[in-house]
Amino acid sequence: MQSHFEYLRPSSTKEAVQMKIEFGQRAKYWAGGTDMTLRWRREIDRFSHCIDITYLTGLDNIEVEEDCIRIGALVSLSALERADQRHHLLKTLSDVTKLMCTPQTRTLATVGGNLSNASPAADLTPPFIAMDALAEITTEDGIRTVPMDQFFEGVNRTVVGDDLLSAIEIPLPESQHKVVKYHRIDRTIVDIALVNASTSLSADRSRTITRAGVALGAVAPIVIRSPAAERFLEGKSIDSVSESELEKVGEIASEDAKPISDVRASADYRRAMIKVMTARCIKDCIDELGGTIS
Amino acid sequence: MYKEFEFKSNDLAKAVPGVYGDVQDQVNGMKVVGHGFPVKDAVEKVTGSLKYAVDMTVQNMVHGKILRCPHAHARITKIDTSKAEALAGVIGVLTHHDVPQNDWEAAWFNYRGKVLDGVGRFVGDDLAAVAAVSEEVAQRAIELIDVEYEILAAVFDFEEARSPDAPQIRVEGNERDPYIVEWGDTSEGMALADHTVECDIFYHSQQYASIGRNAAIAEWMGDKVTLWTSSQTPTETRDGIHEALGIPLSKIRVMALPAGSSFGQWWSNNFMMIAVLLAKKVRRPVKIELDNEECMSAVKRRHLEKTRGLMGCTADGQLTVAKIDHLIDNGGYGFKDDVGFFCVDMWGKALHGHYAIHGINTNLLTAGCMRGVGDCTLGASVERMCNQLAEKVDMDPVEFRIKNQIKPGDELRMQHSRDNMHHDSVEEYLAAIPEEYRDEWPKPFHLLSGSTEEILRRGAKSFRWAERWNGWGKPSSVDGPRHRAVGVGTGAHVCGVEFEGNASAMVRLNPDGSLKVHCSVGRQGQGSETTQAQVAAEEMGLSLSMVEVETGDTDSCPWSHGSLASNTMFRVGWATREATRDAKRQLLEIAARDMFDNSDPADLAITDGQVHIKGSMSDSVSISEVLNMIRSDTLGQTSSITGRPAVPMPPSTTFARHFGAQFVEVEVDVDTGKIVLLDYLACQDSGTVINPQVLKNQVIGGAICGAGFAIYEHLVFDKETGAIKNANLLDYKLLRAADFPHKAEVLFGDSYDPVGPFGARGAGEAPIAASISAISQAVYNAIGVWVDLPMTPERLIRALGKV
Ligand SMILES: Cc1cc2nc3c(=O)[nH]c(=O)nc-3n(C[C@H](O)[C@H](O)[C@H](O)COP(=O)(O)OP(=O)(O)OC[C@H]3O[C@@H](n4cnc5c(N)ncnc54)[C@H](O)[C@@H]3O)c2cc1C
Repeated sequence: MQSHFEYLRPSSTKEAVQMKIEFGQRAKYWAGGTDMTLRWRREIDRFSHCIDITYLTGLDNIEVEEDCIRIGALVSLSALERADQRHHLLKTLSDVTKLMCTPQTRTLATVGGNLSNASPAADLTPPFIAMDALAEITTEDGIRTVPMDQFFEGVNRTVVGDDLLSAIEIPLPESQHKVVKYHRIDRTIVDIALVNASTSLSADRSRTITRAGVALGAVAPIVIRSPAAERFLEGKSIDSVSESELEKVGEIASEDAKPISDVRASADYRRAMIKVMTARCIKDCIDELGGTIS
Repeated sequence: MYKEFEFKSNDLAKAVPGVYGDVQDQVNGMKVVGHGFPVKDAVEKVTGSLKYAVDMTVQNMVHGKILRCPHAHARITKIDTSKAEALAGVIGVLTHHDVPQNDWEAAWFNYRGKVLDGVGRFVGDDLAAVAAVSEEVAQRAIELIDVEYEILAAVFDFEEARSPDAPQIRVEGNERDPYIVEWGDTSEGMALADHTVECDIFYHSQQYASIGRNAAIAEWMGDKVTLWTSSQTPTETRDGIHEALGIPLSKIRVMALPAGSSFGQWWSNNFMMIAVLLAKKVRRPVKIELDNEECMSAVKRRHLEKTRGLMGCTADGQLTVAKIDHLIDNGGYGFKDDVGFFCVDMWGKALHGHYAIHGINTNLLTAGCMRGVGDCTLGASVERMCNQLAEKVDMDPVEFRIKNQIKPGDELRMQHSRDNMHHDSVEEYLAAIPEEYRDEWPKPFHLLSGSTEEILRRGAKSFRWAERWNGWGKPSSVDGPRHRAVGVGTGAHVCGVEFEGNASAMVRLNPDGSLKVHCSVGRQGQGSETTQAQVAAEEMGLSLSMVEVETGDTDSCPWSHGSLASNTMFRVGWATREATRDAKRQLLEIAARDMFDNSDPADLAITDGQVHIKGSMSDSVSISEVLNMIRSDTLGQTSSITGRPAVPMPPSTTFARHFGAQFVEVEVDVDTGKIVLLDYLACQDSGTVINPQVLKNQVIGGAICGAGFAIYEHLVFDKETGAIKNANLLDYKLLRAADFPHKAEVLFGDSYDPVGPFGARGAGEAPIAASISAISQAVYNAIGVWVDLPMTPERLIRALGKV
């Protein structure tokens, strides 16, 4: 039997957090509700209080600053999709959202919900981790910030606890050019990624890769980084990476993957695809940076 | 002795004399038939006012839920419903102790068994039901029923189930007698072959995955019952209730409603019988509404199948032999023993053949006929073997098909061993056909009209096949990991069947000159409410707006198989036309006598509702004037005219087939295994096209459904329990419109069927088969490896040996 719940509508972020603290585990935030509805209907989540955060103001803006891009937690996937002209990183994120859900669902689904649901296959998580993004979390008495790669604790579990995810910040390091790319394996036009990967490269004026982010999805209980793959790339020139090095870095990443077999794909296939997608992401990043694959 | 029909092409517009055609049969100059009218329920559909079964309510209705078996195979030893009955809001509980222990049979052996008999034969099987004031209370009560089970051994693998030591699922045993069709001598065929190929292919199970779910509402008035449900087979559903309950057919009324999509899922289903029995027990109307998961895991599905066989041909590409053994798993309650319409007949030019089909029960969800049953599996195996032979003799696939596929006048053998013919041999059957029919019927067991040849030739030209085809196993272009190639595939199916009864229809010509057609067909989006009306309007000389169709009320619609086996246009459409012809004959007799000075009715015609002397519109009178005249006459014979077919329809499985030939371009990513469909041409030979918009929709819909089966769709069964693990649309991958080339084109063949209404034949099932074979072949051409279905990214990568 599906649980019956009480509907709560806080008028401020602070009140939302207080409500959540009051009811703890028994309460759930409701953003777009696109994951929640299914989890409630299938009786995966049972809760006595539903805290509707959709009416909170100030959480649905995308701000592009000199040193960072800030995306409010309540920004809908369709709003993110429409932000493609505002920054080249947002262009990639816009392309990612186009792969997600259906146009109808995207008008409801939020960025914060996608991250907070903490699915290892979520599409936005890998690019945020690859870009070294930070989660801005509102607590009862202020704000705390957590790097995206430390945000997740397990399937459907994050460090947010009884607080509220209020925004995601993508740092834009000075005098460096940062790009991000994403690939996923899916089946039909509407699907959850069977496995996905994202890489971000930052290059300085000397065309050296100063920072690499490699994030892999649906190959572990949470989206993981491949530090070895990142180290392999850092320090290289964007004009010196060869085809065989692309393959090599894909291999390194696939060694970090710890996939399982399930109804969607086998572990072996997922591991093999990490190699292909990582290489494709890096190639796309180098292309966007104006580098050449030797 | 059998009628020699003059074959004609639609654009020649030649008259065919006799019962089955007259001057009006010319497609050119027809006012309603052949025109792409919007479907009659378009506005209701897009505004959401069309009522499907889930939308229906009746006064005082309560809600039913079904207790489902948690085990693969188990017998109930004790069932205690007291806690459930004590729950506030519960009206009553139905168990097997309340149910008549009669076997009932769904159309075409899709179900055979008792409504409830205390045994669960698969996880999700129906065991009991609760009626309560709300669905929530009913569901809670279901959870309060205490059941003790004796767990029985289960078998999931259909080959294991054949063994005499296997757990027995049915009293009849697990395996049906094989359905065998043979001709010539296969050892001779082997000897003649310069090349042979073999196959051993397993097919996963496709789910109907119908969008829209279903519900059944049953209401009793005294000892009479009415059932509202979405069904493609209204009268067969009524027959099922009759068998299950043992009450007279006259006390049963089925009101079949439209279904969202169906593909064979919503014929007559056991949950409908449960609704009828539960309503009887609780003396209240009961609605049982299935949720998505129940629709996908507790009703039925396509069979798991396996083809083992060989085919051979001569060095110049003449098929000499087809020797094939094909297994189908019927799950718990399916009872089918054949699926072979397609290849036995379409590739019937093979000189020697032997096809054996074996139906086997397992402890899996019941399997039944899904769109293109057998065509999509056995047919796909035969297409693959023929492709492999064509490669061996280095022949173009289009040419190989034209050389080896059936043409009008060729023999049709699929029905040779059909029990329903009620005769021991084909010779006896033929001898029993009454003399008077022989003069009018086409020659049985021979194809009357249509073929793949014309659509293959025209399709190849339009698709620029010769330019784009680069040879067997050779992509037409390679861009990094992306290989492109083209493929062609063919499909055929019957145009309805006559085994359980002949199709009939009734029309009523009303005093205002409007016409109501009563014919038992389904409305699962295939437009029959529109196309049947077009047939009747054309025959009567009315505009389409004057004709409406009742498709689902079994109190007014005469018996027909409904919409199955690509039956609707050919057989029911025939009955609709004959019924209209009968009404028209009566009308013209009255008009000739009373309003046209006792002239010969044969000299009269009707145009736009006006009765007139042929060739002249002066002195015309409207149909309503004719009817009102006799109505106000106190000696009047009638106030409305009822028409029905005056002769039986000839047994069309023995002469009618429809054909599809489809061309596709695919792009395969050989590093990820992903297949993208780039370009599509679907050609269809269904005789006269009654409504090009409707048929286009049918053909593309079939192609998408086949593409889904080719690339993604398959049910995943739990190895331990047989339960379905992907009974949801997240992990059961259906193609959506955006997964299919949006510029896909449809090309219609030009054949004309002398028996079908205005030259039309069936349509629904050839397109799904052709698509599967076309895509399989294109993928082979792109990567040089045959991949078993579904060609998911992972399975493709495995076939390439990359994982
Ligand atoms: C048809 C369909 C297709 C989909 N396709 C995809 C896809 O392709 N890719 C993909 O990644 N996902 C997909 N999803 C999943 C889902 O739509 C996304 O994850 C979506 O972004 C979730 O956002 P939401 O606002 O609807 O979250 P909700 O359902 O409202 O919430 C999800 C979870 O996050 C919590 N939560 C929400 N906001 C906050 C917050 N600000 N702070 C703390 N906790 C919070 C909720 O309590 C809940 O536990 C699909 C869903 C559907 C129904």
